[in-house]
Amino acid sequence: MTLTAPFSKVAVIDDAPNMREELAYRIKEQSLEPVLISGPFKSIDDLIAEILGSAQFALCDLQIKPIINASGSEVVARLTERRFPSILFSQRVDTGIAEFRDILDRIPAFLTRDELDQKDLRNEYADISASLLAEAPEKRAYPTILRVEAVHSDGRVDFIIPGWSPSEIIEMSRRKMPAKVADAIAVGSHVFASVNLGARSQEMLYIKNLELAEEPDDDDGLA
Amino acid sequence: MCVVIDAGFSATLYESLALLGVTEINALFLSHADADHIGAVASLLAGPMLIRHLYVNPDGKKQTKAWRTLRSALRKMRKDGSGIKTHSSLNAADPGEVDFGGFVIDVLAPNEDVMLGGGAGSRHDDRTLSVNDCSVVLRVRSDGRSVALFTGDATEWTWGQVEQEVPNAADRQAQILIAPHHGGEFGSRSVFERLLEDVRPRYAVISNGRTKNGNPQPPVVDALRSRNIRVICTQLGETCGSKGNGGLGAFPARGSTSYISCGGSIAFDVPAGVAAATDDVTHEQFVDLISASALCRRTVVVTKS
Repeated sequence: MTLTAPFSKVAVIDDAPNMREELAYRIKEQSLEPVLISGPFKSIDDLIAEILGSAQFALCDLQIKPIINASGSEVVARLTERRFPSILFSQRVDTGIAEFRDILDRIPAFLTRDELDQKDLRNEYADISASLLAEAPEKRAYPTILRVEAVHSDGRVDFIIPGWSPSEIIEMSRRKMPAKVADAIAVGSHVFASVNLGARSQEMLYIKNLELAEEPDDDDGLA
Repeated sequence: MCVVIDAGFSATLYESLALLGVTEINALFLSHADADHIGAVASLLAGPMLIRHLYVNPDGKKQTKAWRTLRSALRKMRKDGSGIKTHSSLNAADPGEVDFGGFVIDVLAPNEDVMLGGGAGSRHDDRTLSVNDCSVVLRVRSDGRSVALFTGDATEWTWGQVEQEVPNAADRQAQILIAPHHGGEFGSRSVFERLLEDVRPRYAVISNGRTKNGNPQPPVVDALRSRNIRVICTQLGETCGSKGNGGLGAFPARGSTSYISCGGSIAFDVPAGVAAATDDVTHEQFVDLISASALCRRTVVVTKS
């Protein structure tokens, strides 16, 4: 598979048969050929191999547990590592990002189902293929500091990243943090991380390499 | 030699430093502790950049979240053995001026009396001082000429302090004025007019966010235009047009990818102490294109009594 290969086959990875069929219809409408992938697969490697061997582009639902015991975000991230263009979609965009904030740099596009239905897939294929070949400035990681604004009982943590925005809350799941960080963070504490500070919106913002920060030194002369 | 004065947020500072090949910052100056002036500084302190000196006054509001974040990042930088020296006094007496060899930075406000009295939150001249009242005003001199005046979020009260500190109006001049408070609220129009009369800038740079507080404020731009001061806003004002130029200059601009830049990041050459904007022509051409709506192109009626 190369990015210059003729584009005709689109893999659909969706746990719901009716949704798969609906997407297949949309794909055919655009004179493309759907490849419906229903599994189940024992490993993510098997699923990746199936996609790579059968299509040139993939549309992957976020929730695909009946197909494989993994998140659609992990599948898309793995495809991106192989420079295979793909789109992650979900019924609602705002419910999932906290669960894959750590790998968002490898999610080329995350759309609602409605947004996906309105896309010209040939254009999406071209744009995403191009983005896989060169690192966009807005994806470049910079070291920065994060402040914990809230810790929710469902495992979500609200951060403020002062180097990106002084006021916009960025959610990340505690489950995606190193145990040492996840166990220790509390409201008002700080974390160092690598973040793409050039991101235009929070839907593009990834957070990696988290480390606990110490509280300010009382003798720093600035207390 | 690299000196950074305030840095809000986004990757623009990092990108600009990389473009300039900067691996070491000689000094960071912070005008005050507002999050939109120190956010990117906290990032810098959290990273590997070598920073020699940090000049800043303690936060008048005491322990704001943004301030604690900055101090937490500073702790890491110190622990990493960078040798950063923190100067927790930035007023007209201490350090007064800092000589960097090719250029000098003077602190014109606040004065020592204000800071010894407690700075923001304290009573002075029958008023409780705000954080903006205590914003640091810095002047950059090169080759014996006054090049630029960085006013942070200074207010009319702050400017009164500058007038006391620098009693000779001719000494308050600067070729480039970084307009107070992002081209927004400053205080009375008459004091702003007085400021312009004193500073007599050739350029006024307005560091504004397109969607923030309606900046630049039309009266501010009108006052600048009535004196034929060349106005360069970093982002396109909301009333100036629907789509900016994406940043025509050589330096990265925060609004460029969203096409909301106007001047973008603005570079000046200062040979022999005389300042000239390097992307002057391209910015002028862009503003000409939107002249029907651009605030800095509308007709200003000048009345003289």
